[in-house]
Amino acid sequence: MSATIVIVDDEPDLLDLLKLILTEKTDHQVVTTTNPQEAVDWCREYHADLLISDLRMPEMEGIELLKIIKEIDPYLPLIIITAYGTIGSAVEAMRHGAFDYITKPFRKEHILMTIAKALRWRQEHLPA
Amino acid sequence: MPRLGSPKLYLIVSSVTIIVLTGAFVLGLMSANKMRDIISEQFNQQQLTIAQGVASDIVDKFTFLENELHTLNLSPSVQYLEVSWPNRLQITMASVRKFGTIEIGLIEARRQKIYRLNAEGHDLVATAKVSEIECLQWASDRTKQNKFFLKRVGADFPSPSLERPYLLIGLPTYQVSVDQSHPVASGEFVGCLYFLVDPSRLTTMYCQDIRSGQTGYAWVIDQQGNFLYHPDEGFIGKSAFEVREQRDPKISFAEINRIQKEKMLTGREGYSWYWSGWHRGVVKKMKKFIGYAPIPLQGDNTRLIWSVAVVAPQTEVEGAIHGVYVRQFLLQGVVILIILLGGGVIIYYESRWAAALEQEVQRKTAALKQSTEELAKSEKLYKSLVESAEDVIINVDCEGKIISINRYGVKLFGYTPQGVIGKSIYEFFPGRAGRDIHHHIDEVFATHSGRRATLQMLLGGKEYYFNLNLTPIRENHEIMSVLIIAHDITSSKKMEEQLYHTEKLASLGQLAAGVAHEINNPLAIILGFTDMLLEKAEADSQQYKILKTIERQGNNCKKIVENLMTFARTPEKVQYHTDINRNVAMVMEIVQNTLLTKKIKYHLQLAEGLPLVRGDAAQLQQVFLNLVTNAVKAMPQGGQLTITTGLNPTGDRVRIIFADTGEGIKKDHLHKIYDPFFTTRKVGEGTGLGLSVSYGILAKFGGTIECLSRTREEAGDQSGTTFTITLPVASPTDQELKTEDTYVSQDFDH
Repeated sequence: MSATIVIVDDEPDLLDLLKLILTEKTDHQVVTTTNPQEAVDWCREYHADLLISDLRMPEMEGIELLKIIKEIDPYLPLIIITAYGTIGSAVEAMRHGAFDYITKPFRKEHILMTIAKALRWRQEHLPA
Repeated sequence: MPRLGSPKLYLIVSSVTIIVLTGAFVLGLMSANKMRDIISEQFNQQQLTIAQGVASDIVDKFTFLENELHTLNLSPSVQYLEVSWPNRLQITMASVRKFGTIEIGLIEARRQKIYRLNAEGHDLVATAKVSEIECLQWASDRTKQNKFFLKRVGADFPSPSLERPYLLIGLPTYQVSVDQSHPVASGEFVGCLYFLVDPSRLTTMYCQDIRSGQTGYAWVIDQQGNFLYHPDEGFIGKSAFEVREQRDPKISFAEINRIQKEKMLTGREGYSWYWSGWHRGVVKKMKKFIGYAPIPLQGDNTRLIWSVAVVAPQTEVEGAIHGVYVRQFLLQGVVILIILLGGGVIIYYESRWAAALEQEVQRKTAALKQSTEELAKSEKLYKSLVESAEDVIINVDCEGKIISINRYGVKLFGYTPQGVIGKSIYEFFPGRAGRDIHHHIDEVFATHSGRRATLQMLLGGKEYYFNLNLTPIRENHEIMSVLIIAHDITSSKKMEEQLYHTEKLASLGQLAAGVAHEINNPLAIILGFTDMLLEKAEADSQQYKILKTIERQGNNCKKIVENLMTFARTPEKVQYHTDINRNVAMVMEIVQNTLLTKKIKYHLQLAEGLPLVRGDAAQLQQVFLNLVTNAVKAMPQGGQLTITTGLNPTGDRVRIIFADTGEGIKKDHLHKIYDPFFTTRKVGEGTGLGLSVSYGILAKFGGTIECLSRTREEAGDQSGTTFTITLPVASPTDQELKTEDTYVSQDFDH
């Protein structure tokens, strides 16, 4: 089953890496952007099954993005990727409704497993 | 000196008062006697004045009699013996009778008759051998005309009235006057006209009323020393030299006799005193004052000297003297009373003052005693403080010789007190420390002010830090010595260094956290792409090897960043408590094979019944693992590792000691071992974060870590390193928290 995954990170190289992993390892459609607002607009105008977001971005914090997305689509899972020294902030994101978090650097198997788990959750919670 | 209020003082004061009063009394007596003498003299002077007055009156009356005689002598009735001669004499007799004239007469030379008129007025003409009469003989000399004849006459004078000596005043009579019957004066010698005067009557007239004082009286003696007048009529006409002794032979009248003889009968005036046996009705021996004056009766044939005396007993002046005495003694009494009262008041108040003073002295003495005791206590306390102080307290003179030193100082220097006193302080502070302290002591003596300094020195191979406080000890503004208090700040200095180290590590932790974030991003990208490429590369290809190297180094970076993040991790809000012995055992279980292969024997000396400590089991195990790893690295040829646990002496911390017999850590490296990335291992063998991470973990849970190490060069076979960890015993609050024992999650690749 093909899903649409939106990825937002202020680091373009990381976006390229994630896009490469997902396109090569899965058949999901991948939309990447460095601008959190673009990600919000995308989610609002188009269909998205999963949102992967960096925790810290210059234009918008991941937590804020999470709050906005949850208003648009409460069942849209969001995976936080953090490179920060502690996991406290990632845990805080999960309290606000993030599905899971991945710390940098990550192994591709780990992220693929987490994405699969999120999409399964999405499937289970979508209204019929 | 006798104190006020004491009996001795009272005795002295009383004695002095008695002496003063006695002196005042004697002086008073002397003054009274002097006063009595003065009054007596003044009294006698008054008596003299009275005597002079009496004498003057008698002389005046004698002169009056001479004048009357001269007037009568000029009468023709007398010169020519006319029939009326008796009448003429009657006239004169009337005026001179009262002055003692008992007879007026004319001794007629030619007829050898005496014409006389007595005091009663009877005239008589008697025939007598007038030529034998001395006064006629004298008067017949023509040269004696108008000159007076004067003589004391008695029985030798032919007069019926001569019961006792009389005074005859004569004047030659010549017929020089004229009257109707005798118009021409013949100038012939007639005879001698005379007054016969009773001296007693004359003197009685003036003396009988004389009073000197209350009872004093006057008496008169003639030129022979016979009384002419005396209040005691039995004395009149008798010799003044004899009649007194006849009256009272027991009394010596030498004094009055001398006065009469040498003074009165020689015509002198004056005053004196003498002893007498009576005075008026009083008969007893008494002292009498006498004032005397001469009564000179001048005739042309002779000069008669009578003398009048005014006498009074001493008792006459005693009244006045008594009055003076009374006034004087009253005055003295008042003065003495005032003195006594004043003295009494003074003594009373002085006694009170002395009592108050004594109380004050006693109070001050008690206060002094108390302050002395307090001083002694204070000195004892001071000595105790000095002796028990854990500071070196030394007193040195200007040459740096030790005057005194406390027990702690002696112990520190490893000497006996006797071995230190008198020695130079510089012997005990070797090298630069000695030079520094020498400089400070000199400065104190030079500037007269205290100094503070920090001194670093080696004692017994151990490094010490001292805070020096140098205080000048002055005596009379001169500095006699310097008190040096050296406070051992080695511990605090090390704590300070540790704190500095901790702060440094905390800053490094924050830095590391930031670095970790920044590295993780590119690292994720590098490792991610590498992983993707590896999947596509041939396993034996050069490209694959390169990608593998990139992956390995990337993972090294990842590990470093993970360690950095562990090191930098802030204290968790929730703390756990864990069993140290169990954690040690778990770690040893993991490493025992490694130790075996490295020929390292290990000994566990784990105290039983240790309380739980505050901390996370996994992290503490990581710490223990780091230390064991380091020990293993330090013993490449094998050795011995001893792990000991137990409570510290105060019981509030658990102590874990890791002691190896390895190569040891050089002194230069000891203070750097907790710094991140500090390592003495080859590149790739160690990250230099093990001890930093361990330090961070322990600090997070309130723990400490200390390292003692001796290298092979220093200790030979005794080399080795000992890490001592302490962790606080978990509090009851901690005990309620969930215990979480986990296992070491990291790989142990030794």
